[in-house]
Amino acid sequence: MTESLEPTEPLAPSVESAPERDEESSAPGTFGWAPILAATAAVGLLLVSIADAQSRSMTSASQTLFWVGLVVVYAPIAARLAASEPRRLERLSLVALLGLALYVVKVFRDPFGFTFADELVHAPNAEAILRTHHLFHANSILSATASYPGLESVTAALASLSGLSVYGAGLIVIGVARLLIVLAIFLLVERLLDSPRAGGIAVAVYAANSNFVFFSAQFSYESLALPLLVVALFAYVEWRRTSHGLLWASAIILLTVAIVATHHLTSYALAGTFAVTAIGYAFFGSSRESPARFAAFGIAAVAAWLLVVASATVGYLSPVVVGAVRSVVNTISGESAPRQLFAPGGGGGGSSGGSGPVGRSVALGAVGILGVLYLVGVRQVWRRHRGDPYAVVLTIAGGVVFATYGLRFAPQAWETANRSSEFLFLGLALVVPLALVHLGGRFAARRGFAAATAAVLTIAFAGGVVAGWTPSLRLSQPYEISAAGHVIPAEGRAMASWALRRLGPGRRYAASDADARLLDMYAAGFAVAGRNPDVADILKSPRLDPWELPVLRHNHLRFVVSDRRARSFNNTAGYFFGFRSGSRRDEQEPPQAVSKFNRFDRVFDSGNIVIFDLGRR
Amino acid sequence: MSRRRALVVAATAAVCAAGAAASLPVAVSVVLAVPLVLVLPGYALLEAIGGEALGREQRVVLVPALSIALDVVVALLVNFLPSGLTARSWAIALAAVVLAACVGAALRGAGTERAGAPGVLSAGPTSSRSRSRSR
Repeated sequence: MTESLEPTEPLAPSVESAPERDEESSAPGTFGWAPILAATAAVGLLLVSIADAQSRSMTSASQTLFWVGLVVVYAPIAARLAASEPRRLERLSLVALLGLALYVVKVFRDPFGFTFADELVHAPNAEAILRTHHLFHANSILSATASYPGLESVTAALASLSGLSVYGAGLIVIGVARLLIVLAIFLLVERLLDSPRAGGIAVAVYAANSNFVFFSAQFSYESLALPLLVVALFAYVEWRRTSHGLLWASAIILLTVAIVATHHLTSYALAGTFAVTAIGYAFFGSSRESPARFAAFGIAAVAAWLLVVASATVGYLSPVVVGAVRSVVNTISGESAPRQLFAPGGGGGGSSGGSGPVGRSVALGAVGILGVLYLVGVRQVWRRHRGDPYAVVLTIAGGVVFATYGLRFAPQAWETANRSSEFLFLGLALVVPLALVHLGGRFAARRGFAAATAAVLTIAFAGGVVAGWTPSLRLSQPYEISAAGHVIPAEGRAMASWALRRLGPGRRYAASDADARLLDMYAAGFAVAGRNPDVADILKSPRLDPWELPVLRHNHLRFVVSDRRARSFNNTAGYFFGFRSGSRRDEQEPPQAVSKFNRFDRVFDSGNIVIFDLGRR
Repeated sequence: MSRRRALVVAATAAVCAAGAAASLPVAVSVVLAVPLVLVLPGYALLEAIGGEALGREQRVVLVPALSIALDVVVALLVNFLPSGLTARSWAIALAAVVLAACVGAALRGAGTERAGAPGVLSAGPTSSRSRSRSR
């Protein structure tokens, strides 16, 4: 159908036939299959929750039920979104269902509290706001987060007004953000391509980005800022279609301010997208539709925030960028070995096991599928939307996704590549639906096209999950043990609770990566970890070298938390009960790593974790 | 926004603020706090700047997004007050934002009624189509 339009209407705005659109717009809205698919999604989530419960109780670490559950959630919804029959209301219901159901997968993994590394950086910020009633508190783990209090502000507002904990309020805020991003992607792509069907498929495609299920569902500033960015991008599309409405312009300005105060990279992405689109308009489009003024406002807001509030951001981001560039150069020149593809590093905390050959095959298959569909979609963009600089910019962003796969070979560039995927997939969410709807037009007569599309999308989705999170940590981990009416927390958590009770808030600690986050969160402490200053080496070395005590004293780290569990130096895996035997048996640091501090007061000892008091000096 | 609806929204915000700032059971406080933080500010602002032209699905996106954005701005401002961000200051500030937006929306509604126009700043084919689709 679409092919027949080519000779006479090379820039036709729609990807669907006119009769189909007419039928859709005049038909009364119904939920269609949405209630039935909500029931199938519930069954899928039940399977995921059983897998999580088995993993948490250490009865089974099998991920079979988890994967079956994910497919039961995703595939039927993707199939229905790919079909041509659903009305708009049904599609909207389905994208909301898909977004929230996949959010619940992450909530099921951590039903008792935050356990992601970034969550345990942001939650203490929110706790500090509740405790002191003011913003901008120093953060010992990621100092830049204190300068972007958007997420914590909203969470603190909800927590203080409702009486919920930061965990409870955070779940609601991130849940609303998840709903926002899927609905905004639907509306954005629907408007750009003039096709509700493409809008629905766009959400299914976006869910295939490697961070959608876990990373973007965590309590972290990007999880809130990115949905606001997509709403701003949608608002711009409406602004240019509605004679520059005051409403849409006001929305863009207000959202820009909120994004700038919430997350650095997202604010740069927003200003950059508007700026590049404005440049495109300067050469190829009507200046009336150019977002130049929004770009100028965004750049000014970002610069002002950076100068006045968040100057520490430069020091935080520049080593990441420089490290990534250096790593790429070293990998290309052969100085360092390439990283194995699709063996996630787990948010910077080191790998806890890579994907098996099946997982890697699925992930590579997903890249191949998306690559082919992208090429088909680019052809359609060129035919129908090349006069729209905004669509062209998003299309180019989608292509950059494939360039970042090259970065995944370089060890230190992996995280940069992975983190960029949730931004760049917005481009794929525009182009791939265009390809699928085009192919749907060509093969509409063939039965099973929607099912085939769903199968292809499901592989892409599964590949994203494989690439996105450390395999051994996809399922819920043992966090608390209930015995004889008592709840026993994991060792690190128990240590932090003791520290708050006996040492009090505001104490300064040297600790491993996981213990430091727990101390910040549950002991209201200021716990330093990592290599700047080099606390990690101090805690791991078997003897107390002459430089170590001066470093601790210089940084006013009175309490040293020495943890023999090697896992505690992994910021994704260090919060749970360990394993005493079997293949997952815990590795231990040498006993001397603890005993070297024996000349100081031992104020806490739980077997693996010892807190030493270096004294006031 | 009609004067009556503006009154209802402002009154709802006042009730939510008073209830949320009081020491009520968490189950009750949540029911009052969620609209005050995530719904009412964005809804009132939308009405004040011409949101009556929007379709339902656009509202579903804009109301929480603008509410969150307003929360962030309110936090940055209230942070400079000596009392800081307490439950009471949150409640008063958010209720004040809703009230101010409701006054703006009511004045705007009265203005467009006097002018005999349908109160649409961003009217166009998109908006009317959105309404026809969603209803």
